[in-house]
Amino acid sequence: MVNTAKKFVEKEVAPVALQVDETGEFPGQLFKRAGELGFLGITMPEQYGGLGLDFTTAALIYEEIAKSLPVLTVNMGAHAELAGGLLNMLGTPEQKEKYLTKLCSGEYIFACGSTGPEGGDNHVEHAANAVLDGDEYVINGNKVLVSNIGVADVYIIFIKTSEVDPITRDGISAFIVDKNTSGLTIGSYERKLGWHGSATGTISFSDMRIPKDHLLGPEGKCMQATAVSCTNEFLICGPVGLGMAEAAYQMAFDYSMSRIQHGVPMYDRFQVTKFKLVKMRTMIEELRAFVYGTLADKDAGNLELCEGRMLKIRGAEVAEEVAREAIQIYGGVGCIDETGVERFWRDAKVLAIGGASIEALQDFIGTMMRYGKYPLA
Amino acid sequence: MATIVACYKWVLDEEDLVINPDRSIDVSHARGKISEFDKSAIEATMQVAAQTGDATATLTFGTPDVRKSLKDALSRGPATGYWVGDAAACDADALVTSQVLASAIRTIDGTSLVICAEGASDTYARQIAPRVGALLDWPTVTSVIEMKVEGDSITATRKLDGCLETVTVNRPCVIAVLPAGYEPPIPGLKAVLSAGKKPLHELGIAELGCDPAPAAKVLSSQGFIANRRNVIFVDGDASDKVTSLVSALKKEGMLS
Amino acid sequence: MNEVLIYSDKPSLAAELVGFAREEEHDVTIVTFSPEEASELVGCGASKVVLLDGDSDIPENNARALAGLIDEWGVSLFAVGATPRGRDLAARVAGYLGCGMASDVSAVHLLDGKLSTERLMYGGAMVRSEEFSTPVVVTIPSGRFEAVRGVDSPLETIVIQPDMRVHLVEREPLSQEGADLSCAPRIVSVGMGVSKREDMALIEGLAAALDARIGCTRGIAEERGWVPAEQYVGISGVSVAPDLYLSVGVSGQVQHMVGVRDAKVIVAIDKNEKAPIFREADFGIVGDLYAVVPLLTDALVTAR
Repeated sequence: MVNTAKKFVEKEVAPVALQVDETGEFPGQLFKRAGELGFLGITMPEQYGGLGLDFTTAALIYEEIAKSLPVLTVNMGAHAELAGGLLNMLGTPEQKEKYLTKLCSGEYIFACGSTGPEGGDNHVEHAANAVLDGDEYVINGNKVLVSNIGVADVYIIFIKTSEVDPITRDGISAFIVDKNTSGLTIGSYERKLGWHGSATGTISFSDMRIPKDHLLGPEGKCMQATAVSCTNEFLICGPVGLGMAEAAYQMAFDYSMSRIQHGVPMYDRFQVTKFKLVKMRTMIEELRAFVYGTLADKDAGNLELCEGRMLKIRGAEVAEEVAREAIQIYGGVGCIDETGVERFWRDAKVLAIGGASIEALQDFIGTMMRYGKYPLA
Repeated sequence: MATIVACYKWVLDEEDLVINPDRSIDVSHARGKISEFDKSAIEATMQVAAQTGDATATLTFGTPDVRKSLKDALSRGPATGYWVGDAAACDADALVTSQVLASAIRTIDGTSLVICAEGASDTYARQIAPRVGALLDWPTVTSVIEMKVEGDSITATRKLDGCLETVTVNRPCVIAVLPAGYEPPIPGLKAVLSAGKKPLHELGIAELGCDPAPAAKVLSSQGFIANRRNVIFVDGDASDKVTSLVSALKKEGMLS
Repeated sequence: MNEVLIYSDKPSLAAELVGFAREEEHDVTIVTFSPEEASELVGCGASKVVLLDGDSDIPENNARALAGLIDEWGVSLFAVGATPRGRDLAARVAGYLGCGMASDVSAVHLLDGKLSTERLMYGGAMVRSEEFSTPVVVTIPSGRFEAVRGVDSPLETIVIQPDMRVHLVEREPLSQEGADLSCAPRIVSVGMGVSKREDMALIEGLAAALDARIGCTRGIAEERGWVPAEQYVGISGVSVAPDLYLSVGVSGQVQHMVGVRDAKVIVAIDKNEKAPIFREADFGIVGDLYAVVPLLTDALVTAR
């Protein structure tokens, strides 16, 4: 399995990785190939075109891809983990037949819109709302920082359908929206520090009419499932951070061996370089143990919601620190984008925020630690 | 229904070979892999089967370790894996290997087409397809870059020195393909998963009635070490280095 | 007595193989399937030229009949020119005879009924010496032996029955797009270190200053398509033997270097001091090719 990912990365991803970062274009061809190779439905049921495998397998694949093009894991994560997880948990058999099969094959690209312009993690302040009118919901408002927009065939959006209970968060519903729906407007892409190619921007709804059968799950009660599908995505951020850190470390190590200073490789000449690399490597091995230990818990059904969040925190922190030190080892050359190492740092910085910031995750974990459980879970 | 058999060899990855200073070769770190060219033979088999609807199988001969290759081979599409694992494979030359493969092919019911690569990435001897053809006394077409199969009739295009040659041949026959026409795709996860569930058949050298004695007696195997002067200009600015190089080339009489 | 029997679909290569047999003082016979080639081959110094007159347009179709004759004549060594057709026919003959065969040998000796050979394995990383008893088949690439000229040898014709199961439909010549590097005295070779297609102008300038042909690595020809495929050097490309081989941005993987082993002088320019090519180069410059090549081009123009 991992060999399939390695070959894919070596032959198809690596040759265009820098180009994707430079142009910021959604890597559509790579995404399509990821679907053909089975990377988009690893944990989904076989009945709907998935492979029915565990999260450890999925993590190994994400890790390989993140070593070369982290943003592709972002495209895949939004599609397969967020949208796929929700469809799988909440979808009716008809919805799964219609959408989940095409999600697994990559025939349709999915995007997931949850963040309102007012508040990041605070789902209570959802600015978009839906009103039932006969057999249709009429939706108005917008969602920001949505990835895979424009290229997506289907959007899954979270919309307030009644007053939101601050504790249970009941009142928020999920909808399946086809890209050609009238009233749906796709904004332009944001220019960002990292994750170039994630096709991120705002989508707006203006009297957008969605038939009742496009409601995903029971009305007003999607947040429980969302907590799980988000956890799945946070889990994947662990191996993604690991892959990024490994790539940056390897580049820095190779550079320190090939750069000759005073007649010997930099690695041998400067103790500080060696020590930096040792520290980077130690952090990577720590993270690897944490990632695959936690995923073993997940696969055994023993995962606590806060563990998944911790994985994302640590994955982002390690990737950011290792990438930063890697640039430092390269020196001036490391700041040039053609070298290809600084993008790992830019992508790691976004990983520490995008999807849910380290602080939002810590807040959630803190509540769980205080009360023994999160009110929702 | 007829069967198409793809032959492949499990070889050491040449990238993992280490040449010691005394020119001996350290293979202890070398991993096995399906010879790259043979992946094209498997791909050609799948492409032909897609045209004809025939059954597909792979066949390999190697040391008992060769069993490890079957999952990779079958993840490339073929339905059944035949393998001969015997320590004799260590010393086998093309004479022995072709006899083992030909005898094994006789035991696979309904085989009407055997597809090989031109050569394996370790020896690159390019003997197997013609030898297997001779042993089975089947017609053989080598250097094939394209095939059209209709029923028993095959129209094949061969790429030879300076020409393209189109020939027709009827099954049963042996075809050797060049990688150019049959770039092997990366097997998807689904194919890798299902490969583990496909039927395997082990065949023994003795039951096939093959003599494992090779014709080639290996006298020595040594790593290649280039014997060059290695005068490399590293220090100084570019123009100094160029000046040094040009004067060295002049002394060698290379610029007259 | 038919000690050594020779065949090649390239008459010039058949003549080189006679050179091998004569060097070792073996009795040597050439077989051919074409009357035109037969008349060309009679002057090559063999004891005899035998025209095997079948009725097939495909030489390989004669393998089974030829194997029968080799057995009948008691041939010790069947030496074949290593071309695609030659290798095919040779291995089929070995298959029908059930004997050993050495492919594409770099050295070969026949002595006291034993054939000893050397050949490359693992893309050139390993040299293997082997020994065979006779009868045995060998394929030999061009350029290993000098052709000899001799008095016209007698020509004999034997009618044979080819295997007609493979039919020729058509044969069309492949247009040679690229230059022939096999005889070029100087070659400038491009590797993946040259990053942009526009930079080929730099390389062309350098080649012009040296009066050299342009070669390349597989990646440049097959992945980037900057240079015709006929001009890539290496195990699966052409082997070259120039006086001077000057590489620019070539890392020196064994699959490439095996094609330049017969070069008299190898010069490498690359920015990576650790690149394997520097271990296989006579002279080298570690440096940025974009700085080095223009200076070198100017210096060569001045020097010549």
